[in-house]
Amino acid sequence: MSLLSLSGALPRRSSTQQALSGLGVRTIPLEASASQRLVEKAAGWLERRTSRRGFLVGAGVVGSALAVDPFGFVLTPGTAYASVCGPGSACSTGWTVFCATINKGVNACPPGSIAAGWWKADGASLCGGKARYIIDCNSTCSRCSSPGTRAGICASDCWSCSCTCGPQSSCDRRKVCCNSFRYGQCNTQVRQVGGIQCRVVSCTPPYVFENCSTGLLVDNRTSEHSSSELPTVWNAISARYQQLGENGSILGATVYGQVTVPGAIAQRYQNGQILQTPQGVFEVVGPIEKRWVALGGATGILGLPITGWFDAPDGGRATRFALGRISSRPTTGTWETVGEVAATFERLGSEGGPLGYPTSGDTATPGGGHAGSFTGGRISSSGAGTYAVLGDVATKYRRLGLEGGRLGPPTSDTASNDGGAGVFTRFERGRICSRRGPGTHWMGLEIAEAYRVRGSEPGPLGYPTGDQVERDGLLVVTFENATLTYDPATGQSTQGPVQEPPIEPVPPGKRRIADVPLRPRVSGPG
Amino acid sequence: MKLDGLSLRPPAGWETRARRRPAARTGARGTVMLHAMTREIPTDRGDFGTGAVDVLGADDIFVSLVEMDPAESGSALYADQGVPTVAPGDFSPDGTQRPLPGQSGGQWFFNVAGRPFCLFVVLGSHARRAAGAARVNVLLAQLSVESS
Repeated sequence: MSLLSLSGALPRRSSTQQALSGLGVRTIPLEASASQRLVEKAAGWLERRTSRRGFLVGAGVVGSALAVDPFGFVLTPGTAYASVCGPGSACSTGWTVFCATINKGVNACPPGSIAAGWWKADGASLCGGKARYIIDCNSTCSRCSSPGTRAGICASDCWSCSCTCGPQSSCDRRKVCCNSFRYGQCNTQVRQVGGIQCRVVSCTPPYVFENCSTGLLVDNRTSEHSSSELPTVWNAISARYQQLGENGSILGATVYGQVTVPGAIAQRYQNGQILQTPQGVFEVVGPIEKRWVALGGATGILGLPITGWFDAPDGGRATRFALGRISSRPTTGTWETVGEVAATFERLGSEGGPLGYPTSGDTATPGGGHAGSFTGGRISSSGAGTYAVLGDVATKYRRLGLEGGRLGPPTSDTASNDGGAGVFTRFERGRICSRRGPGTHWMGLEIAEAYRVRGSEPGPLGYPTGDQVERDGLLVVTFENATLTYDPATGQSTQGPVQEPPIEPVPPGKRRIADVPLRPRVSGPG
Repeated sequence: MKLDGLSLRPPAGWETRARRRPAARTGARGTVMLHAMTREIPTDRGDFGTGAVDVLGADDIFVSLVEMDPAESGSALYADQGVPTVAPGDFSPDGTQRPLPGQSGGQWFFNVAGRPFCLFVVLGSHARRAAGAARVNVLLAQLSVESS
């Protein structure tokens, strides 16, 4: 299985696209660097010796400050919180706020704004020392009918937002919707936009994921501008996100910064998460992430991911977890397989095997077991073991009530003992046999035992041609070449000749199908 | 001063610099820009004047003329033809990337011979924008743009 290139894997409608639509416009684990290690040591030293910073350490702010402005923070007491947001973070400095600060942590243009230009800032610690790209999200000119005639920025009374400062809850108190400026490389089909509402950051050039041209402009003095609502460290998660395409990937924009979850560090995105676990760095994406979260996430029944999400046959996707797997396909839904059921599913080829895709989540079964249903069968785990029931046998098993029905849980996989001519599955209380021609039929444990003694499917009796029936207090199964009868009163099984099933009496006024004369088929024109 | 078909013979009192940014990706064209300032232009400056506007006096002016991607020339933003004449009313204290106290900024998007440009001007004093606009127009009169 190969990892999917996620960039643009699924169509996603950005807030910019939404805003444009509103306008009627178409539109590998990394090693810490030497400096990081040095700074981490310094942080530890500070934590041990500086009680004044206690609340900041507790809030994770020191780590953020160290990432953004490490030496400045270590060497200049009292600047931790300011360091998180980088230089010029006060409203009075004139810079514009980051979108994450005012957009519920989402590093994307808020609804009603569009990307209007971008620039590059080299040597950014939050991009691993490489280039960082800043995108201006400008408001739209939606509030008046006389926006002016000059290209670029409309009259300020037309802007879709009002000038203010960033929230006091953040160290990013830069201006919101105040600056009448446009860099001019994005969405140039829109002649006029409003002021800059906020800024988006990325380590990937914006023309890769936004409607922007490649015209490169540079302002290195902004390389360390940031927000407490943005990721505040560069690490293996950041690198993986960049590898996947960042804002243009299926994950979408970051939502707030990284957090610690049991056994891992996690970063949330609009459409998933990336987790750094002891096993590596893995993304959990889209419907698989939603299902995983619904099942308890890192502390739930599946545990932490052990792969990213990857292609599965027939247009599906899957992710493996420490304790199971989630498979997703639009036509069958998104469902988990857990524990031994998952192990059996993978042993049989996962989604590409005879079981196909799961059609249910992991469900408890009578007797303390659990099971999962699939397009091609069912896997049931009980005290007897974990087995896969496949194809027509599974269909029959379902009609008989599954684990809670008359056969109980399976005690074997569905298999063939006659070179593939047919198949069978053993259950706690019987057997189902299936072959094209005779069909798929069940028998209880007593006749199944008599059948086994006589050689079962490859033996002289052949396959059953009907389900087990009770007739005059006897249990009877008719086979291709014989009939087996079991007498519960004596506990004895006997073999006899093939019996025609008795003809049921026909109620008055009804006729058997065989008695109904056939009408000639009338063909239509053409 | 001449670069890539852009030439500017600055009037007395102006210092000018030309700069070309490399293509952002293979096959793309680099960004060409002219900077003009009524005092010494700082070496460490952003393309729209960060680091330069910080040192403007009340009578100083910073001008950045940036040629954008040629593919933008047909877009709505760059549809206006010809080098503009700037007017005092075009300037605003909020008309900059990063407003600084007392200053005033303005932006003009246009194309000349199919070459799309963004003109950005920062005046050291909004109160003296009339005089500043006049000086900018004198500068722009010395600008020559060849067809690409």
